[in-house]
Amino acid sequence: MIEVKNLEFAYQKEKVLHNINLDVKKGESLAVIGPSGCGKTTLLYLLAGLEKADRGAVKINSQVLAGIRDRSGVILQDYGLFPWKTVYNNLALGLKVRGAAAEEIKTKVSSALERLKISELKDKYPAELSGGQKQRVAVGRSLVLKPDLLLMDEPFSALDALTREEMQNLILGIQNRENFTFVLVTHDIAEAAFLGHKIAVIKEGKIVTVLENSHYGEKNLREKEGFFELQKKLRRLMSLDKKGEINDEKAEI
Amino acid sequence: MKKQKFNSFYALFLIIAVWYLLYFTIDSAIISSPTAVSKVFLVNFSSEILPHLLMSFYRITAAVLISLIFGVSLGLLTGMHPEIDKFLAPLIYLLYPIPKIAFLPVFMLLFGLGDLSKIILLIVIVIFQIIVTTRDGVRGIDSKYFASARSLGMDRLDIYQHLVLPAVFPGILTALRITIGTSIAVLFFAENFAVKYGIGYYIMNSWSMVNYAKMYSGIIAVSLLGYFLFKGIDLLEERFCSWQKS
Repeated sequence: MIEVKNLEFAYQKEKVLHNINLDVKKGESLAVIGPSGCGKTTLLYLLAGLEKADRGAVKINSQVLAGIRDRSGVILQDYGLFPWKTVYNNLALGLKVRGAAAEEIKTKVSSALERLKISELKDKYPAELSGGQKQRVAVGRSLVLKPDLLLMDEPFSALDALTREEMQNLILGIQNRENFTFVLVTHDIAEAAFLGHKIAVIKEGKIVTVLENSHYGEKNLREKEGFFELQKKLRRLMSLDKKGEINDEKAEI
Repeated sequence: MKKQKFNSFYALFLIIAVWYLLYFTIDSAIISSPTAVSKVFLVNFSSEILPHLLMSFYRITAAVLISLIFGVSLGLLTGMHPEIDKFLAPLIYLLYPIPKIAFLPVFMLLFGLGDLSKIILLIVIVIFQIIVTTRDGVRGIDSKYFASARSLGMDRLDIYQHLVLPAVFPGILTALRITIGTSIAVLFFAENFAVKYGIGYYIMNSWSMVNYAKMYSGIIAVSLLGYFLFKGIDLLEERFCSWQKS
């Protein structure tokens, strides 16, 4: 589904990403984890087609990405909901600009509102919503477009712990049903361990390692020992200094 | 709604009270009795005042609409394209502070003694505020909204329609409120030259004929004209900017 080859990107003269290589299969999820400023948001923007790489290429479904894809849903860090549009109109926007008929928009938006349990909020403006509700709207805005790829930039970082877990469960549930591929950028270790099929650790613009998460999707994962072990390992990888012997780590858990 | 009505009545009551106070304390014909003026206003409203008022209303509305069309377009253009702004900004900054009212004789020579010269005078006064407010409004839009719009697959036209215009609209309304106050004041001046209709003409003509009751009736009419224009803007705000109150 996603192939990233030798990707390089610089803002003005400062190199942000160095030689990034990634491979994500259809229906899989990739969590990209790293400290602030490590280039992970830039990587997501490149996958979304919002930025253009200086070198290398992103292929999605074997096609070189040249711009925004119709079937990529993007959820930005602070949701990017338009404050002047109601919840309903925020959800309808993507369909509207794609020229969908009014009836189709109504059906799709209503069904997304119901699935996300936010039907009663449809006439409210984003400023009237709580963080968790805004997050649901942002998810809904992407889901109405029936994406085959969902890209999320630290979508749950502003939420309290319980709401965050609730949203993580929700994403996992929807992904199970609709089987889209998703990439999640986060600095939260537990989130990466919970939502990543594969977990890429990024540091200073380079991928340090990509872990396979064999526990992905297990029931009550948060209470299992393997989940904590994985987090411990991620923490260690993230806190290693430049001389850390990452290559000696066994990638499979 | 009820509270709003109360607020309007309270303002009216306060103004009339102060007027009465001045009337009773200053013993001069120049301060007419509010009762007498009200009578003259009511008797002459439809026959005399209304045609003058409508003429002024037409001049202001025409000028404001034309200024909006060109001002918002130029503001959007300069706000969205810094390279165009680089050329236009110095021009705007040099022309904005010029006392345009001094150019009324020039406009009258160029565009005739009729409505056109007055409307153009209003336009050149109003348009700068609209250009600058719109441009700064566009510049103030958080870049996250542009990323969000592009990620939804919006093209340039969609971005103007769904992002830029709604974002700058409240600022445009504020600019309109300010410019309408200025427009009425300027129009009052401009309508003293070579016109037979216009509320400015009516007031000054009554003044020169020492008919103070009519002069005050005209002033009341100007006040009402402003009131309804401001109320109109309030309605637009309620209709299109209710998201700001949330």
